[in-house]
Formats: sequence, structure tokens, C-alpha cells
Amino acid sequence: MGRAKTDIIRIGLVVLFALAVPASQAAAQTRNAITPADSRNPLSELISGYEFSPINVRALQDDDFDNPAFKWVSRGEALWSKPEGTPLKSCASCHGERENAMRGRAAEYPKFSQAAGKVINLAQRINICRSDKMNAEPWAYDSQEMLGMTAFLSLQSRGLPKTIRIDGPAQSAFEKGRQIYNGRMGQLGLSCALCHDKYYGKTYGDRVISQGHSNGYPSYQLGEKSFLSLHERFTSCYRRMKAAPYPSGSDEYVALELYLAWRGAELPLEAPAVRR
Amino acid sequence: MMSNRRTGSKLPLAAAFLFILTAISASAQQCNSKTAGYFKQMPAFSRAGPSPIALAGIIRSLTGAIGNPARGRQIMADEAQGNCLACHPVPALGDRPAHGNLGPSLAGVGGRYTEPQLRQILVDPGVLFPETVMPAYHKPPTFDRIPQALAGKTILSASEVEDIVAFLKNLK
Repeated sequence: MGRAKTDIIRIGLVVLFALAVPASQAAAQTRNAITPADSRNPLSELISGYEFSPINVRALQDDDFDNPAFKWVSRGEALWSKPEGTPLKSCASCHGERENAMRGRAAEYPKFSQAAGKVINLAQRINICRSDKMNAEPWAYDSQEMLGMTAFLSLQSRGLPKTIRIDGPAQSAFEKGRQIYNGRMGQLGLSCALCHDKYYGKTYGDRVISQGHSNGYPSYQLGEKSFLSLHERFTSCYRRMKAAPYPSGSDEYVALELYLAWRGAELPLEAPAVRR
Repeated sequence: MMSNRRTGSKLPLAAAFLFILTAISASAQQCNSKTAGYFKQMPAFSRAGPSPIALAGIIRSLTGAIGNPARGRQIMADEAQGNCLACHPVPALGDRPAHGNLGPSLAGVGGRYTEPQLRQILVDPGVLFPETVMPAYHKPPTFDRIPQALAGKTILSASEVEDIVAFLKNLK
């Protein structure tokens, strides 16, 4: 009897395994995709980096309590109502205390700014507010304060598509971004487009190459255990291509950020995401 | 007399020229039959295709010597050197983890290409595959944003290329 029982268990396990392996492979291959609205988009389908992530990374992002990035959201939330500058003022003094006071704002950036006379991103807009409206010290580009505030503001646009403009005064930055994205660079002579437009879904070492979208940034990088701005993430790709990176907050990176925002515009924002 | 001497001096030149031409086309045909099947399955390969001279590859060793296959194996697997496994599955390096699949498998690559072709592909694969994403491993880089420390430097040295060629040509 005991023997027969263990045999049944054994057979059951084999059957389960036989079913589970193809099922997990199928799950890895079906990725949610959206069709881009602009026919000039080099991609025929838009797939978020989430879809290329291993299951443990996706599970962390699925639960706000588990997502390590929410430490930066809390930091940003605290800074939102912290009075600074002269006279003492906080973000909330002008924009209100409500948690969703800035719904949709992060989705508009990068954007042409009259004040700056050029296209700027969300971090740079925050610093314009700090220096012009609060008389407070601007934050360093990749400081923990800036990462916290951009995470807090990005979360308020969660689920929304990008609403950027690439015409008018933003056009030259857009063209520059497109050029940087497609140009071969560094000792290896690679480009962003070669990997992320042409070979996404293939593996580089043990990593699946994603489409390189920006909709999850700033994001928590599980491997490095660090929270990265999109510009820091650009730099880590540049290093891999053996190319000289631009500084975070440079016009070149903002231009690239604008191009990426257009290229993945229809993807719902999911920042602050978790990436491998 | 004068005119005779002139034609006389031209004859060996013409003969040498003809000889070179036949040699090139013969080697190209040989390579053609060997690689035609493989080129057909290369999706990135298109348009007019490489010239017969390009198809012949680089005949001479870059160092004048035969490479060391054991060292070649090591360089291929090393992330800081060849890093070949990042893109190519290489069954012969099955003891190493994380083979990517961005490029084609190198199983039997020594049977698909001649040694001069393998050398050409490592030095500058664009000559054979104009649309390839594979870097040129022994050609001074001319791209934008080259870090100062790497200016004018090739990814692999001549002897490292020869070591890899020595390893790859035996994969049959």
C-alpha cells in the first residue's frame, strides 16, 4: 500500500512537472504589448521593461509594500511639505497637501521651459521651483532628495501615458535625442537602437534585452540594490558599450530622455518600478 | 626593337595579373560553396553581398604565427576580453555559464568558415556582414564618445585574435 502510494505521488510529480515547464515557458514568451500611435515609431509593438523582468522582480513591483523604491517615495512625500528657503515655504504651500495634487504633471516631461529657454526634465523643473519660487538651494541631480521627489511625483502619474510634445520649441531637442539614440558609439561601436529596437527579447549573457523604455524610471535596481535616475541608467548602458557617458542632467541626456518618452509614449507610467 | 622590348616587358605583368585574378575567383568560389548555405540563413545579410576579395578573408596570420587555442578559449570566455559568450551560444564552452543568443551559435563554426574568414569576422565582421551588430575586435574605433583611455585602442590585440582563430577553426 505504502509503495503504491509513493508511486502515485511520484507519477503525480512527474505529470505536474511536465505541465509546469511548458506553462512557465509560455508565460515567459507572452508579453503584453501596445501598438504605438505614431507611425514614425521604430517599434511596431511597445513592451514595458516589466514584461522582460524575471518573475521575482515583477512580484516586488506588483506590491507597493514590498517595492523597495517606496522608501524614496516616502522620502519625497516628507520633503513635499517640508518648509525651506526664505521666507519658509514648502511645495505644499503652493501646490497643496493632497496626495494627488500633481496628477499628470510628471507625464508631461521633458518639456520646453520658457524660464530655462530649453527642454528640461522633471528634476530640472523641481530645481527651478526651488531656486525661483522658494529661494532654496537646488538639489544635486542624483541626490537622494531629488530621487525621492521625482519618485513621489512620478507615482502620481502612475498608469498614465506620456503627454510630451516633440514639435515647436522641443523639436531640436527631439531630433538630437533621436540622433544620439541611433548613433554608433564607444569602442564597441554599438547604439541604443541596435540592441533595443532590433534585438529585444534576445539574451545578452543571462539577461533578456528589453526595449529600453523609460516608463519605470526612477527605478530600484535589484542587482545593484540602488535607486537610479534614468540618466544614471543611461550611464550604465554607456559604460557597457565602452562609451564615454554624458553627465546626469546634461542637455544630451535630456534630449535622449525626450526621444525615449516619445518612443514609448503609450506605455502606462509605472515609476518607481523595480528592474533587475 | 624598341617596340618589341616594350611588349616583352608587358607580358609577364599581364600574366601575373591574370594569375591573381584566377586565384581570387577560385578562392572566392571555394568559399562561396562552403558558406553559401550559411549566408542564406543570415537575416542581416542583404543587398549585393561581399565582394570575392572580402569573401576570401584575411589569409595571413596577424602575428605571423599560429595562435594558442587554449588561450583563445580563455579569452573568449573572459568578460573583460572577448566576452564572446555574452552574445553567442558556444557549446564547446559548456562549462561556462550565461551564454547569450544575440548572435548565432558557434557550434561547428570552423566547418562553416575558412580560417581566413574567421580571422576577417573577428577583425571586422562588417566586411562580410554589412548589417551585423558584432563589434570589430581588431580595428581602431572611429565612433563617437570613445573614452580617452581607449582612444585608438582595438578591443583585442593581434595575438589575442590569432588565439581565438586557433580555437574556433577546430570547432567542427
